[in-house]
Amino acid sequence: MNAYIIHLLILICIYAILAVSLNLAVGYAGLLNMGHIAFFAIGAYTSALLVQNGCPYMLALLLAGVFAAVFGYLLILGTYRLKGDYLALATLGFSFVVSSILLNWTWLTRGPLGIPGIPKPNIFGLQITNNAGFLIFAAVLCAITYFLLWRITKSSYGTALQAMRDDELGMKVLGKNTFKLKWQSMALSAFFAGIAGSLFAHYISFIDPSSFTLSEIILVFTIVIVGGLVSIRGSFIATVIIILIPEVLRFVNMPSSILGPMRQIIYALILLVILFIRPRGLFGEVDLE
Amino acid sequence: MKYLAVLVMLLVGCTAVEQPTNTTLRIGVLASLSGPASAYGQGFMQGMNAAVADLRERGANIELIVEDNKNDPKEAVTAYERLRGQNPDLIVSTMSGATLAILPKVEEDKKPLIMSLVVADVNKQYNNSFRYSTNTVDNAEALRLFIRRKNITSIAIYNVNTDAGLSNLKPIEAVLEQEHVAVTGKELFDQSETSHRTALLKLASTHPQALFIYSLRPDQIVGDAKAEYKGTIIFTEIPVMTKMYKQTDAFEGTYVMAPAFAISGTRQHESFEQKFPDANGYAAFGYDTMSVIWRANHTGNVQTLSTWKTYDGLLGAVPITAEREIHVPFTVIVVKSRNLEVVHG
Repeated sequence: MNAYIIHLLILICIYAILAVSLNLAVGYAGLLNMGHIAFFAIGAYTSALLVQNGCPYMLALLLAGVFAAVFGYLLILGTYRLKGDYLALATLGFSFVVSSILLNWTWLTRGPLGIPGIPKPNIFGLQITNNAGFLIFAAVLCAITYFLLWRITKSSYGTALQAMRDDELGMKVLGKNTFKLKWQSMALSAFFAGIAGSLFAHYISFIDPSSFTLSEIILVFTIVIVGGLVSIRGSFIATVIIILIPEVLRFVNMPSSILGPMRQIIYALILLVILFIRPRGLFGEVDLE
Repeated sequence: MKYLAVLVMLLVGCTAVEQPTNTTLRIGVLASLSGPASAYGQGFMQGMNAAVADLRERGANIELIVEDNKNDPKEAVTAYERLRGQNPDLIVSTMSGATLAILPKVEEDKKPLIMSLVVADVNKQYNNSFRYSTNTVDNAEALRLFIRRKNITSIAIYNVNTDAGLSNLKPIEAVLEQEHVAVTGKELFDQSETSHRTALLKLASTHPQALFIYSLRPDQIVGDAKAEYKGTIIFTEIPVMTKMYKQTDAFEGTYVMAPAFAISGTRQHESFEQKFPDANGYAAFGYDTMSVIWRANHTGNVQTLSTWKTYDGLLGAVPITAEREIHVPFTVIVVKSRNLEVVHG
């Protein structure tokens, strides 16, 4: 298969994990989490630093998820009483704090110089040497994530999350522990974001704080909104669309003087048209509040 | 085999004797054409396109396959994967982070990599690369001469916290130590920062004899710097390369670092202005990068790198080092009425 197509499929797998996990927190649990990219960054840095210091990749992958999940729990611990816009602001602040730490904790993260030369994964002695191998690995992780989140959201636990999103007070009246539901859903969402971060770091082979900025938060939110809230399938399909649209535009021949900006303008227009035609996204069931 | 020949000639060095060829040289270019660093990539591409046009007039067959890396590692890898499918003979990449991300893949493909506008010390990690860019020590050496001329004994540093900023800062601090210049204060700032007054006030309160500023957007700082500090303000080459000093009076009286082609009266200045009256200084890097690639590809005598000690292009006669990179000599210039005046000792 063409190397370029393989590359795009790998990116789709990574961003699909990121998007479906965000949909769990935002769509199902109603936690307007703007800090998802921070979990992605935590996973990427954790995995890269551990592997570069001799840790086996599979353990580093697991720890990337666990470490991100711990931060997910801590974030909910600090923002438990916040809702909607206020929670969005607090979580956005969290992502800026993480970004600032990555930029300034230079002895650990090398700051703006980033971490170069991150090796390809070694899965229990099996070294991935090419992109085709990486694609299989990423696709397996993506499928596992999709299946697990699909099962969770279709279970009674998923229904409880949606009930909390729609009427938190009602859930409390029924004796449900909404704090527990919140931290569990946020930690689970963060865990998978950390896994995606690990994949990203070991695929791109270089990470720096500029890889985890506001534009990435917007990208992942765009995927979730275009796909529709409360739809794992929607997030997955939207990932394919959002990743591929700018790539299709690469085939439109334009002079180099307008090539960059013009592609971005066309990309923005296509997204606006999609949301104009389907305001709830492609497969959305609820409005973003 | 063709790109192997390009690599050998580029890295081993050669005397430049141009000969037209019927074989098309296909060059994959990854430039930052959009995003915050687009001014760099756009200027660079203007230069490359002009060089290609000139070379085509002389019978050269060159095809540029241009992709936007947005100065972002992920985008750079995506753009490189697309280039890969078109099998270019060699790769030209700009900006440090984007270039670092594609480095392992270019190495895997064994393609020659020509880097420009890359400040980070990337070259040592890959033997197939050539860096046609300002060197991290170039600013420091210009500052050293200026310090000696002006007898500066104390300085404050205001430096952007990016890969380029930190890469430049290290040799500058080394020079200040060697010259026994006291650093009265040092502040690193985020690239997205737009308010600089507080940090500059703090630095000014340390009463340095000079204030050294490295920012990718010096136009956003110069007003605050002049308001809060009345001593000697020194910028790196950015105001000159971007031609910011010509767009505002704010740089009046400040000192900037300038390559030869920016200084009126020099041979390089006339060549540059004639060729690029509207482009920024990064066009010179684009033009020279393309010219160097072509000359390396079409030379008769392959010798050792040491025989090809300099390349005399729009940037002036730049020395080529054994580490497969160049030095761009800077002169510290004072801005007067939106023009540059050489500082005499």
